[in-house]
Amino acid sequence: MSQGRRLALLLGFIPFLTLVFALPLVNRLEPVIIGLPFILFWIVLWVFLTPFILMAAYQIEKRINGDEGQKEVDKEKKKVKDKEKDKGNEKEKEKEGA
Amino acid sequence: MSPALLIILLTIIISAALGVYAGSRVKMNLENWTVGGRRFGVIIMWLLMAGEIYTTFTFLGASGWAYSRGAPTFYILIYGTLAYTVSFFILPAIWKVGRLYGLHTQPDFFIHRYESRWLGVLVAAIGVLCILPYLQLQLTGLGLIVEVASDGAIGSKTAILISFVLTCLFVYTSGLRGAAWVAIIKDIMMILAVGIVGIGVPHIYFGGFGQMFRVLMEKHPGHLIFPGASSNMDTLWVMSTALLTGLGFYMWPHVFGSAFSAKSAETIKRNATIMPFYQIPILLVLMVGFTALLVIPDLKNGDMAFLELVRVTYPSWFLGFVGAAGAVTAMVPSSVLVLFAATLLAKNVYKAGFAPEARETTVLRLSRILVLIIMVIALVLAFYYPQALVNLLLIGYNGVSQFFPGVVFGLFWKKATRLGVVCGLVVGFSLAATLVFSGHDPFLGMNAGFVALVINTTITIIISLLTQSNINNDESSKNQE
Repeated sequence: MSQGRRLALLLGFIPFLTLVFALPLVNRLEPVIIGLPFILFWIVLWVFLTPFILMAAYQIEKRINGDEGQKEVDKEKKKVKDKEKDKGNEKEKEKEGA
Repeated sequence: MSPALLIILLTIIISAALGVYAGSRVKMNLENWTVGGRRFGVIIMWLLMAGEIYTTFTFLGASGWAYSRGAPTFYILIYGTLAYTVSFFILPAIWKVGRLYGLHTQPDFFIHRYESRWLGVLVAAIGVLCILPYLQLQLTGLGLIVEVASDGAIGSKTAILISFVLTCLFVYTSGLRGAAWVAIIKDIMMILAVGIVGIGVPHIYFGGFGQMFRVLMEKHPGHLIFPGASSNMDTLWVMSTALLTGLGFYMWPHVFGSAFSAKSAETIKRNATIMPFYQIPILLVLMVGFTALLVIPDLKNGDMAFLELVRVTYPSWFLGFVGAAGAVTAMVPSSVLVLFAATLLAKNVYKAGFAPEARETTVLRLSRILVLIIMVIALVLAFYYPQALVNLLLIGYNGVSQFFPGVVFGLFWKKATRLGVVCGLVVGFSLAATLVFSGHDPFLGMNAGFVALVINTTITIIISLLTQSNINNDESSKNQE
């Protein structure tokens, strides 16, 4: 696993930490913040922050993996081409069979 | 004709016309019909996903739960956010495999990765079993919404029948592309309805949501912390349910399948980062439910809280608008659900199981016929046996979530084997069903489906490790990252 991927995964764990595992600690009404009972405020806060966390993960992965990502794309393209070749061969075979 | 009635009828007719038009400009083949030709960009993907995620459950169910159960409803805010986070990591990989090997459906993925047609048939069968009650729920919800919103002018059966014909029409002609286009109308109306009512009602009755919550905390002090007004949905239940549904969300065959419709893996990733913003309207829906509890406290059926509150607060034409939004909100998910159920049956049960030589045009023709058959089944169930599928609905999420180990290990763990995944899936699904039907949900305070998922994962890992020796290590790892 690349370093970018590992950092992104670490960021991706934050919503699980705050929105699942922290719940027993925040299950209370006080203090009321911006009109919301605390538990609801906490959930809304992290729901709202998650897109920004994911955007950060996206940027980090892209920056650190820059070259690697391109290599991967090239590799895929080659694979797809090979596959199309295979398909072509199969079709030819079918034709021969028919 | 009353203005409310006119708005409802116009909306569903224009929606269906747009859906038909969407498909009229492309030549229909299986690729175009099921995955929109794999050409959807960020915006249309976003609209389609919103179309699938906001079902009638969002309208009626979430506000109803907020009304009758209180705090446990917060899991809805949480699980969506978790689901999008998961999708950021797994969906691009699923898309890549799909693009490389021309996959259309979730069972296609299992067939490809584990090299077993019968595993594909099993996955397809479980998928359809979970989709059918969900589809019926959309139809029943639609009938209810239109009947209330039109003040009885259109009966629920008539409403279901009209929307059934129109939905079949645009699914038949345009496939997924039709659903994506109708989703545009639906999303705009839905956001308007939820925005106006969600911000409006706390303001009208209490001068703002802050005051509304203060009154609520005084009158019902337990309502807003777990376990709320429920007896068995405490913190542990919320945690396990949020995890189960968050991990399971993309395992729904139709949601999984829509990953294939994206233009690129990049599109999916960028889409995933903005998806959590979808959750904000749900917060507004919850506010409506809470306000309703204070304003109209004696409803027999909590699910009617949203519509009843609109009825007593706003003029009747606006109730019509909300009803119209509710109707298209049922039509879009219905169309996607029936489309994928039909494709699963045609491609992964009929073709993979019984007629491997069937050509793609045959599969497409069969899929289209199956759309009509499945919709008729759902219609009959909605009309005559509305309660028959409630049991199945209970295990919907628990059921599809059991695909999670097979998918994630399939993508990222070279050692996962066919036998491991089959055993995990069968045990997980049976256990979830047994616990739910024997009344043991929640089990030890946790969501029964979550318990089953943990055991499923454990079994998948252990049996995969035990069956390593039977595998040629080069072949099993061909589509790994």
